[in-house]
Amino acid sequence: MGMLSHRNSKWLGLLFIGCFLIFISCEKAEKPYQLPQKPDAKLQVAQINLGEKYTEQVYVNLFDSMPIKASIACAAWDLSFEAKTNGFRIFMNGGNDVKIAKTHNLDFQKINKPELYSYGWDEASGGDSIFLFNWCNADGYGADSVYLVDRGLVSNNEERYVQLKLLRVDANGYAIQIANLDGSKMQSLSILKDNSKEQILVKLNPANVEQLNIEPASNNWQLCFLKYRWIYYEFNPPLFYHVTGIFINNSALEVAVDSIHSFDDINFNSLSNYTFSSKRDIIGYDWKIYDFSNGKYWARKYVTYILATKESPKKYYKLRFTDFYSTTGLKGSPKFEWLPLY
Amino acid sequence: MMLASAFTALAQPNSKQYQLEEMVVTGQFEENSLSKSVYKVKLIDAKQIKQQGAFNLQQVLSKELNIRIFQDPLLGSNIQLQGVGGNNIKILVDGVPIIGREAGNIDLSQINLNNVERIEMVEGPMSVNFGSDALGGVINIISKKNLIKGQTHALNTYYESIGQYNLDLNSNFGLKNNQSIQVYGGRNFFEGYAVNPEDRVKLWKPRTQYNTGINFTKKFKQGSLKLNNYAFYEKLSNRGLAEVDWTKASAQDQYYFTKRLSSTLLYERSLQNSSNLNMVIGMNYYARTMETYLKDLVSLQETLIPSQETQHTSELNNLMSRGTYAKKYKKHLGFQLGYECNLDWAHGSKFNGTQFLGEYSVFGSVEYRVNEKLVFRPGMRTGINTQFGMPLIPSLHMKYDFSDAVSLRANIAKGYRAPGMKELYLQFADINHNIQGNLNLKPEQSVNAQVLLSILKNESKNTIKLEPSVFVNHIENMIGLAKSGNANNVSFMYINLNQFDNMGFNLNTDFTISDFKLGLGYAYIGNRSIFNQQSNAAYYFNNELKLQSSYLFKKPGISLNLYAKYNGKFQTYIYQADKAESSIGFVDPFTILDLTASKTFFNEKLSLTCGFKNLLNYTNVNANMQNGPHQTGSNSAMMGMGRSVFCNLKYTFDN
Repeated sequence: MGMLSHRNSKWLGLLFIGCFLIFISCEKAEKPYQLPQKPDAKLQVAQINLGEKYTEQVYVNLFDSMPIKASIACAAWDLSFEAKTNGFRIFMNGGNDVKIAKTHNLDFQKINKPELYSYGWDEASGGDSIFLFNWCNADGYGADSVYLVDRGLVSNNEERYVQLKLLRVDANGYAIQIANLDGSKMQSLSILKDNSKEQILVKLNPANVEQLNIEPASNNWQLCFLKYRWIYYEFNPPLFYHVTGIFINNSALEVAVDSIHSFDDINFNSLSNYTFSSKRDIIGYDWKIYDFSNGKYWARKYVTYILATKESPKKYYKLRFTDFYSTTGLKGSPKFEWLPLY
Repeated sequence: MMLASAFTALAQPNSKQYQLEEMVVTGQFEENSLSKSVYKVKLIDAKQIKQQGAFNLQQVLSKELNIRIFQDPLLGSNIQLQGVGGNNIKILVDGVPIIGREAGNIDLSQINLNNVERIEMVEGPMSVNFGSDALGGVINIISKKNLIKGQTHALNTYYESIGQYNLDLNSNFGLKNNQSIQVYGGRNFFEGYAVNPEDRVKLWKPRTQYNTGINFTKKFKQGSLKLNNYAFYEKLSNRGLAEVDWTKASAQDQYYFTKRLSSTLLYERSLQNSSNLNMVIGMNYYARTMETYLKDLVSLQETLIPSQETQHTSELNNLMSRGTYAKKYKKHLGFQLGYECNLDWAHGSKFNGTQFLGEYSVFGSVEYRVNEKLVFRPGMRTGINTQFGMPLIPSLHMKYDFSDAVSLRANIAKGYRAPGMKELYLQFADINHNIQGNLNLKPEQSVNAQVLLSILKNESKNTIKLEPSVFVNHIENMIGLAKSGNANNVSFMYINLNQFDNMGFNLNTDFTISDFKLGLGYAYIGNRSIFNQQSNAAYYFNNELKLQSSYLFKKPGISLNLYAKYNGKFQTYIYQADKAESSIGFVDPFTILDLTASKTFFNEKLSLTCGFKNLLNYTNVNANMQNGPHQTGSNSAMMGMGRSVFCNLKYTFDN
């Protein structure tokens, strides 16, 4: 390198100092956060793990120190039957994509092309908006058709379709028959009701038809976390979408939704402003929202659910969801907090 | 006054040309002067890059006419050239394609310009010369040549007040026997930008880039052999929004790691009988990894989230060779014959193992000079693609010199693009997305026609250049994402969506009057897309204006430079994959305005460039450009990081 003048050297020195500063530049370290104080001593919090792929269905009792009362794989059942003595409704497991078609056959026959049938489904709201609502007459006999059940997300195609005959319902239970797609291997099943419960879950696997007594007693749960079906009717044909959300136990609870007032501002005096609903999906799935830009769900903390028990005297609670991720960062773990209103 | 004197100069016949001819190589039989090239090649040299204070390709191209740059916070910048973008713009370094497209685009901010001699651009199809992906145009980055004698070392620093800190070193050693080695390396650090600097989530993501290379050159009497090796690494941080309540304070942070490696062997030789041989063998590797961590914002500890859905890696490889033999017969006839082989393979969870795609083609063109004024250059390419039949791809270029000062270029060319790796083989499904490649895709094909008139006049130190041009472009089987599957299982698949047409008018002017330079340009480009055979789609036209000027203050030796580009309201058709219908997307107008000054010291050993960028303080502009299965509608487009001050200091010492 040639000789450097004194002035040159000064420039070079400055340049190297500048280089050093540039080279050590890096992202600024974050300052640690401090957690805010618990806002109310009576505020309770729970987190339910449904699995990263939302595979679990979980029953929750908010008023018990051990809130999780029962759980079952979402895919473990196909139909649920009303369990009360006066019940007759039969629901599909929309979360497992179960659909039902009328075959208009009076008896089991061989079905060659099950995909050609016109299938029906239940609305997410349940109640009377279900496919198998008028399946029986006033005496409890169902004789109008053999149904074809598409069990949905079943990997084994031979087990996917089942023919179902709903024979009768009375105060004690249901009598049903099932057969394979070709009409063979007919089986009869009696489903026993339990007046202390809401639903009896049934698995229609032709190789192993089962009544699953999983659901806790009706007074032992208020919320059921599960995967269910939401239908977007703005699409043609309607778009079926699996959502992960909550059905309420409408024998135990009714719910109002407030997305205007903040959780902290809602108190007992606010109750007169609310209209309560007993629809099973009144809490539903949209307490979280998917952020496409960041590939992440956010709990909508600004939505508060006002819970009113159906016992007498009524008790009121406010509840909101605060997270959808586990402590290890996996999704499928709704976290929520609630506080009694008094 | 100055303009008047320039026109006076234009009116004078027999004016001598004092300026050195600018040389280009892209699409040429051999290194050729810009004015003699049958193709219209746009040139941006190292001096212009330096005066702009630019250090990556995005910054340079954003000021050019006919070019629109869009920014994705995670995938980086992407380009539209003459209204055509994405997969259809081929970007090369010394003739070797850059691989590693995300959503069809190469992130231009990953292409460092510290070791670049010039950038050559050809608008319109160059499929005859460069094969697939060159349907919309070619950007060829020419590296600096090694010095054969002596040693040169350069230390280059850059600071910008938006949080950009760059440092690079370059050393060139001349060796015995006409051999030389060049070694370089650098680090570019950007601390991220948010409108509120305290925000954890940055709109422009923090990134740290490292690049290094070693180039070996041996010169022969009749040619040269070069071996260039390059490595690039980038870490991009996408800090998530903090979730804080009384039970926890945490955030999900994503890190994107990009690696690029390339090795290129270039051989060129002038043979007897006015012929030359060029050959390049290149190997490229690209990998992008995403990792997601849960950060405890109280303890500041990070834990990798144990989910396959939040960790991805994809790897792309390319092995290519391209060779040409060109020969001239007297003054009237010349030809070029060539071959090109490209083997791509992709690996990773998104590709369901390893997938291969090959394209092997031969091409040729003839340059026939009818007389002193008229030259024709027809060309043709054909070959085989391991997935598709490749049609004959013809092109015809002509140039007519009305005089030394006035010439007309016209061309009509077909373009061709075979679907890429991701379009064919991507299998990306998680609980929220389901994007599938499609082996039944058809290649995109295009026809492009352009006419350009050049009027160039030099007189003493005064120059005037006027270049009006028009073009039309028609592309069939444009590939895009669309909803597929049935209602129970919604997925998105690459399909041949539409026909794309565009047309445009350009006027480029350059005036040089003594030490003052002024470049003015105007572009008017319209485009339309025809989805589902609906042929009544209207054209949407966009305006662009460019102003580039510089003045050299002789006494202090300071060059003052002004760069402005007005991007008019951009409107285009966007296919709404979820509804299987099209709508009109837009980006509101905005203007880039930079003011820079440069000066050298100590016999040009030390050079200083500093100034202001984005003087009009643009950040986001109103926009609606939503598309695809995993993007929501956005009300704004990222166009700038606000006003900033920068300083670039370079010290060169030699022996």
